[in-house]
Amino acid sequence: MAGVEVSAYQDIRQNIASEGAQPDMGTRSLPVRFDGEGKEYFGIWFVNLILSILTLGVWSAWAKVRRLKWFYGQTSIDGHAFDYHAPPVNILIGRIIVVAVVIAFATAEHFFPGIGLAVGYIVLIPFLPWVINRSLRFHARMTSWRNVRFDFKGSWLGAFLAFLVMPFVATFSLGILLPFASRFTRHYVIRNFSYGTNTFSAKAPIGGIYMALLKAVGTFFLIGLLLSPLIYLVVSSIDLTSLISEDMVPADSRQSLENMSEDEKNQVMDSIASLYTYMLGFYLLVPAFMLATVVYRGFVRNVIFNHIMLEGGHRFGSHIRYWPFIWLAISNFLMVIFSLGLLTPLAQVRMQRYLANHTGVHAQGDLNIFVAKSQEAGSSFASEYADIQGIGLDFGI
Amino acid sequence: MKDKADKMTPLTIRGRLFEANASTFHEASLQADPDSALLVLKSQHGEVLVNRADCTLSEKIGSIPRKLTLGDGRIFECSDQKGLKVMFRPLRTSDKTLSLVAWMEEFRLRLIAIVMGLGGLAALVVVYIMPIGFDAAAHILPYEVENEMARHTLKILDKALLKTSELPANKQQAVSDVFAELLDTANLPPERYSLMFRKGGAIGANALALPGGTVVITDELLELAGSEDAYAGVLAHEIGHVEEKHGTRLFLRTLGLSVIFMLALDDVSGVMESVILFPGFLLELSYSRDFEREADDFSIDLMHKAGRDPAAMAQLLKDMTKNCGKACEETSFLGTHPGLTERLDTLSNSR
Repeated sequence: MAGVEVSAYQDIRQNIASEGAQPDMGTRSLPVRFDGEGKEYFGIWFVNLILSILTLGVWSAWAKVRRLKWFYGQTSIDGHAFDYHAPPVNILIGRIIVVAVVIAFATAEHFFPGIGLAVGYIVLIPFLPWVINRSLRFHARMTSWRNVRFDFKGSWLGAFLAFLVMPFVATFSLGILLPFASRFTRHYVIRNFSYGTNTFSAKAPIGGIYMALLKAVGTFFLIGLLLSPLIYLVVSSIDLTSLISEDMVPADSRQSLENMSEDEKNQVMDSIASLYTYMLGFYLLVPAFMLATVVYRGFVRNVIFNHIMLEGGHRFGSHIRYWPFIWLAISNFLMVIFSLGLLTPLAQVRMQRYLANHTGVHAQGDLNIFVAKSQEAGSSFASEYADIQGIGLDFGI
Repeated sequence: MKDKADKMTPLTIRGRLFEANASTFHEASLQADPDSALLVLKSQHGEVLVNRADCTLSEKIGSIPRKLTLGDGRIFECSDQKGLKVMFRPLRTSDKTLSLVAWMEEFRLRLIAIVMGLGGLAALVVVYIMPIGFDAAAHILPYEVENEMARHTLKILDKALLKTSELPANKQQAVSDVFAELLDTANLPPERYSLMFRKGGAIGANALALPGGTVVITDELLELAGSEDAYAGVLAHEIGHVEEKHGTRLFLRTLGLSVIFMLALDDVSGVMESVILFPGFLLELSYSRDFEREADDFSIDLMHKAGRDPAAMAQLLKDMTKNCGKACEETSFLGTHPGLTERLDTLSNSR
């Protein structure tokens, strides 16, 4: 029975495709929701964190699967939730390999400082594009919506350009070419993604991404401007000279210090104190930079999502709004800092809910036609490496 | 409270039945007879009997929909948490464990007790048990390996920080003789150790022990030392660091802690990592202070055996920290060494 139904739908789909132009079955906007509650995730987050530490990291593989299953399971399009299917044991094996690599790196760096890391990176660089591709593929194949899984099929060159070359381009152009880099990387991932047998395509206009950059730079100056009275107050009123003692001066310079007159000594102490004060002022600008980064990624998401298509005429959208989003980022940050990390789960849930509420899915026609490709899962080592090294490969933001 | 009548009626849960690997689905219901191992799957296609043993149920995580995978690959998706709990009791140990974890995760008053209990246990493991494991690993590492690694560290130190010693040859010989005497008293093979003289420069009056047996002592410290026993105490302290393998143990403990945190906090962004890693950093500093205490105790013991005065080092310690002020006197949780007051106490009680 089941087999007959599936192949019948496949026939319909093939007929439509061969006819060329799609009969207009109507575009529907599907509701995207995140139904997870902070308090439900709090227990999950906390218990899994403690169990991970208690088991010296072994449980972290199960913790990761539980976390993703929960977030995916609470995110739904058209009343259907996502799901994550990775077997925790595979994740664990991947993590063990990663830990071995990290330990090798750390030992090399500790006992052969400088050379160790350099050699490590030279050896690692040819592997990274492969690692990143496999990581994206594993993650994609372990994700499903409405019982059909995603897939990813990249190329070494594409990953090399997208993840190793583009960051350089962005940095060495002092940010001027950042929009090109951002778009290239995201398009590389999206264009190699597929849902079932349908592939994604992307065609975001570069102008929109420059607008995102403009908004981010504007945010940085805005926050910097707002913070500058505070910074000025801090810099001019605190007197670090009482905290500076002669002990902070390198020992061999201390000799010459003792030979100075009282006045000269005070001058040296003053200049050291003001150096530290200016450094403190600089650190207060870091939140402004972080916020600018969040704004940039949010508005890039808007542009990119609005120009993603899924084979079959399905379109997507993102409509993050400036002020609510900034407020969300700032309040999350403050909440986490002032709770010493305890409210991290709540912050994550709030962000996920906002993103889901501002994501659009515009489907064309019958959604019963999606069929999975036959595929094997592949190893999860690469996925774990990317995950732990902080190579954020999220589709979201 | 369910009465007898309820218990007799078969339990029914509703959900969606998906074809294998396709997005097509139908509304369906699953009915269980408490006495039977079979379930009745009803959908618009009719009724079908399903064997419990052929089914796999996904775990409960909060309120996410759960999926029952049938023998033929079709999937029954259901959000009726209560119904699923009654219909499918966990049988295998792995299912029971996951069920227990789900129970612990529930947002109820007992979560506070669970978090504190487990958290306390985790803290015990990290602070006391984990170091034992890493210390064992450090002790397995042979001196030769440690020495090889320390050679490169010394090269870097020489390039970046230390300068050539300006100590006259006869003074160097005198100090080397004291060093050899201490090793002899402690029954340690002198070929495993080497004493290096350097001008401290930026680090001033100081002494370092590198894993494997290299001990570095600066001219400035020897100049400051009021007596032979004073610098002998310092040498004995450094020998203690080498013998107890403090360098390697601290490295392994720190590495181990970093790895565990890295695994446990993989979902936390950069800034948050620093906040949560701070207790780890404090823990590493406390390990360092413990090792300094161990080395002080080793020094006192060795000085006694060598017939020397352990307390002679006291004046030297005072001179070395005379510019530090209040900050060095108290044992602070940010310090790599115990405070001066504590160390002087230990030394004066050593008589």
